[in-house]
Amino acid sequence: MTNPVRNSVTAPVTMPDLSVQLGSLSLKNPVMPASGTFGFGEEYGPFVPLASLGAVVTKAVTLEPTPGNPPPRLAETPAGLLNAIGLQNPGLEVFLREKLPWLRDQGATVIINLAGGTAEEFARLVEALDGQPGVAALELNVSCPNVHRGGLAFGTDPKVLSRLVGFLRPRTDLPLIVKLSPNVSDVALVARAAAHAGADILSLINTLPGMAIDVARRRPVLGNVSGGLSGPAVKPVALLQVWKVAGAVDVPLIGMGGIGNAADAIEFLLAGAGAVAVGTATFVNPRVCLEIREGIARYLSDNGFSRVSEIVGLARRGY
Amino acid sequence: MYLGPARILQHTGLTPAVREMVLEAPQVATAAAPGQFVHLAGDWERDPLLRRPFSLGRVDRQAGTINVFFRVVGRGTRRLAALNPGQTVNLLGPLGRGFSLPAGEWLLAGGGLGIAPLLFLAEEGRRLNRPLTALLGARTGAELFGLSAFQEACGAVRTATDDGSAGRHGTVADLLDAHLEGRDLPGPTVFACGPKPFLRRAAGWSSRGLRVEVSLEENMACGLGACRGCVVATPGGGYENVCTSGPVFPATEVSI
Ligand SMILES: Cc1cc2nc3c(=O)[nH]c(=O)nc-3n(C[C@H](O)[C@H](O)[C@H](O)COP(=O)(O)OP(=O)(O)OC[C@H]3O[C@@H](n4cnc5c(N)ncnc54)[C@H](O)[C@@H]3O)c2cc1C
Ligand SMILES: Cc1cc2nc3c(=O)[nH]c(=O)nc-3n(C[C@H](O)[C@H](O)[C@H](O)COP(=O)(O)O)c2cc1C
Ligand code: FES
Repeated sequence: MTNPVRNSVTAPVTMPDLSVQLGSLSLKNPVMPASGTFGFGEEYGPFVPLASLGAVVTKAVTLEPTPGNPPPRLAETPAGLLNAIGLQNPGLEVFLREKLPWLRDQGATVIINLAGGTAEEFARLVEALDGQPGVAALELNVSCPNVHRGGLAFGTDPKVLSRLVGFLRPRTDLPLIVKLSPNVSDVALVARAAAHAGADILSLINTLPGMAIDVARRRPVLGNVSGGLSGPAVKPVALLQVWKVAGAVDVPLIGMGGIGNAADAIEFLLAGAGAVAVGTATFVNPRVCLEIREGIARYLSDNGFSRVSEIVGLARRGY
Repeated sequence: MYLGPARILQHTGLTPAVREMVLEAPQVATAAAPGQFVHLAGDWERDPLLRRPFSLGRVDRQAGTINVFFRVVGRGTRRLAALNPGQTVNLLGPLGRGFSLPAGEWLLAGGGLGIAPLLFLAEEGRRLNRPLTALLGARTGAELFGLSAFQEACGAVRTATDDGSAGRHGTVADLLDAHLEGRDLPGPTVFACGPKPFLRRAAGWSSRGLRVEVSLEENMACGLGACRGCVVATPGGGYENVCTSGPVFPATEVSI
């Protein structure tokens, strides 16, 4: 235990300020679960006070209930995970009736991930969520590799993406996060298109397409044949994309892809992300977001920083 | 639900093919029901990446211990097999929904490592004074385990092996068909756990008026119902999570 009397006469040991400001979105700290890996928060409530997270990012919500892809939907690869969930979710109506009120009661900062097959579907989702109490921001999933309809098609063509974001922008006052696909030849180009069209924040990366074959059965492992790769295996790819996008746009970034501990998260902050999301690692350690939050706090105070924003993009000096 | 370390108290090669690990996990032992599972990880930084699910094979509530039985099939189980008593694993559980514990006669039918959850079920059945029969199958006699425990708990125990090295030459599905053929209704509740082809055959008995419960396996990530990665198709056209709606399902509620 530290002695309060002595503390008052020596240099005050101040806790670093973990709060971050991403444009108009205020977060208590820069660590949040990645969409699709945290359900609608309920499953992780027993392990993590949801209000202690930077935000809770929901599984993708679609207009209608979405059954998802045939199993098997998961395959582990070296330091990675292939998933082909296919956006299984109960749809907007059930989300609004059953999931959102519960999340709101937890005191969580709620970011809702949205997926639409058409611009009109996206628009109806955005309009339905605009003005709902307890929603902090909307994340547009234009980068899911696991559904045949739409999604990725929006995220890979700068013109199409720009038109979509421009179409949705006037329909809500909520901060719009556009989740970028890593499956493009020049991510900076797509990022610029989204930012110019009115995205407040960009998040990246979504998963990389991949597959696995079961040599005993001589068949693809996944029922969907292809899946999206996540986990430590994608981290170097994700980090470079964040680095590139941070150099191309002025809007704040949420970085993700393979983050498993505080050092990984700090790499993304140093590359230029204002906050980070953690996906696959949550499956192994349900409390990993809190541990990463503590690790970032320790890093800041050990290195004489007083707030997170002081290290955002710090590795970019001179580049 | 417990999340944290569990000390390995014993770890033995029960047969050349089956390992048994006894873990100190009082919170799990108190809460556990037959058919539930635990999600295990070791200190093996990202290789493998994810936790591995294992059925609760035996539970000693007084001693605060749980036993898992496993076969080495890949990296995770190989890592697990290399751990020694005194070391710890990281445990999440108990998870999932187990077997219903109905009144009347129980027929326990397990193939391979599917025997494991039936051991816990047999001990629970004995505690509840249910009339029990166990049908156990494996590839070889060396893979059959828990026989003495089943013999203590069950009125009858029959075995079969693919190579005929123990019990009847054949599979547990053959034992099941032979046992149920020609019996009058209401028959026993059937609890089946093992390879999919066997579960399909066991499920077929539900169309003959028997209650059949099957314990399923799917690749899992979270184990908590959050990722939707472990699903099984349902006759209605949708999907259910194996980790939270199962792993035990009434056979009529899943398409296997
Ligand atoms: C609810 C549930 C309960 C389970 N209970 C038990 C249990 O009590 N005892 C037990 O030994 N196992 C049990 N399993 C299966 C066990 O989880 C897997 O064997 C284990 O995850 C394999 O991990 P690995 O890293 O060693 O193999 P991986 O590297 O993941 O796989 C290696 C190879 O083995 C194959 N494989 C994976 N699982 C199985 C399997 N079940 N049988 C045969 N081949 C397989 C894979 O397809 C792959 O080709 C259970 C699974 C579930 C979902
Ligand atoms: C099982 C699973 C489901 C996912 N579902 C979604 C989703 O619904 N919407 C979305 O935008 N991203 C989804 N993702 C992508 C993640 O949000 C994240 O971008 C990606 O997994 C990289 O982070 P990670 O390596 O930390 O997991 C999913 C990822 C996984 C593993
Ligand atoms: S393993 Fe994640 S939902 Fe079942």
